[in-house]
Amino acid sequence: MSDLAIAIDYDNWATEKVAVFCAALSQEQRALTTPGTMGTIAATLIHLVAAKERYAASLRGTPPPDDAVRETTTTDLGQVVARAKALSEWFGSYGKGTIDLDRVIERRAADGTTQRVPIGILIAQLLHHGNEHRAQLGSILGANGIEPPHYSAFNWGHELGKISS
Amino acid sequence: MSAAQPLDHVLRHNTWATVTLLEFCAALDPVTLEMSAVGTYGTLYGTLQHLVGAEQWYLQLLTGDLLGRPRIRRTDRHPLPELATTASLTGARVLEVVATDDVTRRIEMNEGRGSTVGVILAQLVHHGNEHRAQATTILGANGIEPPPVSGWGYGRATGISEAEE
Repeated sequence: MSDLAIAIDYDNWATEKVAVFCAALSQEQRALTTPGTMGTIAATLIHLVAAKERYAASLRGTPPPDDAVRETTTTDLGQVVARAKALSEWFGSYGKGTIDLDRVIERRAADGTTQRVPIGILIAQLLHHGNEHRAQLGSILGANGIEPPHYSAFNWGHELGKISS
Repeated sequence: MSAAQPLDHVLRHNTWATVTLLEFCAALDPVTLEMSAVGTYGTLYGTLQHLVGAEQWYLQLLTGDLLGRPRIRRTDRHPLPELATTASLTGARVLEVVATDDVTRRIEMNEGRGSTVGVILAQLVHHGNEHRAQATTILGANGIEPPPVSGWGYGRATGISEAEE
């Protein structure tokens, strides 16, 4: 397994962990936020997974599936958890394959325009984006007196037995 | 630029983003560095010290070498240009590590714990993004528009890609 496949596996695990945690919160808790972040817990989680849907679609070269998470329509965090798990499966398999990081692909930007981007840059954005919004969720939870789940790569390694204690 | 190793762009983005953030913060009124936001790690200054100091430690785990002596602690007051120099040094050395090391190699950490190289690299990427997100949360919470430190921003800054959010 490559170093990139490991980083992608970690990203999948961390997003699932945060999604499951947030989906179990009350409606009032899901509406919490804190200054400097992108919005509420629910909106941040939906955006985190919706963006991952778009990254996967760009890499596959096909539109997101009908049940994909979208910022404009998705409200059910159960659906978000289900799609996070499905995306983990897809990205886990993708990461373990042969990836031409220099190959240029097309992606649909948030404004609907088509952009050309090397796969290596899209993957750097994928990992940045996941970490950034999980960190924002951690900040919102902490700011509101809720202990966030432990989602660092060291936590992941420990859970997998790759870190011995 | 050709990505020689699978994690190449991800690690280059990490270093670019940290240095970009440090340069941005170095141009701010020094009073800003003492600001914080609820739910984050601490002050902006302390977060930046910790961000770079942790990467020193990860590299020390991977290679046995401590670059940019002494080891930077959260409570230190190293000037931000010095932190940027250390971040660049560690970032360049990590690229050498991924070109030669075995991701399954086990490394002794602290308190008797051991980890694989792959998990430490995933942690390095997670940790950088996590604390940069906290730093940008602090900036945003205090009315300062943060610099763009995403993977897309890296692609644009290096002339590899024109993709945007």
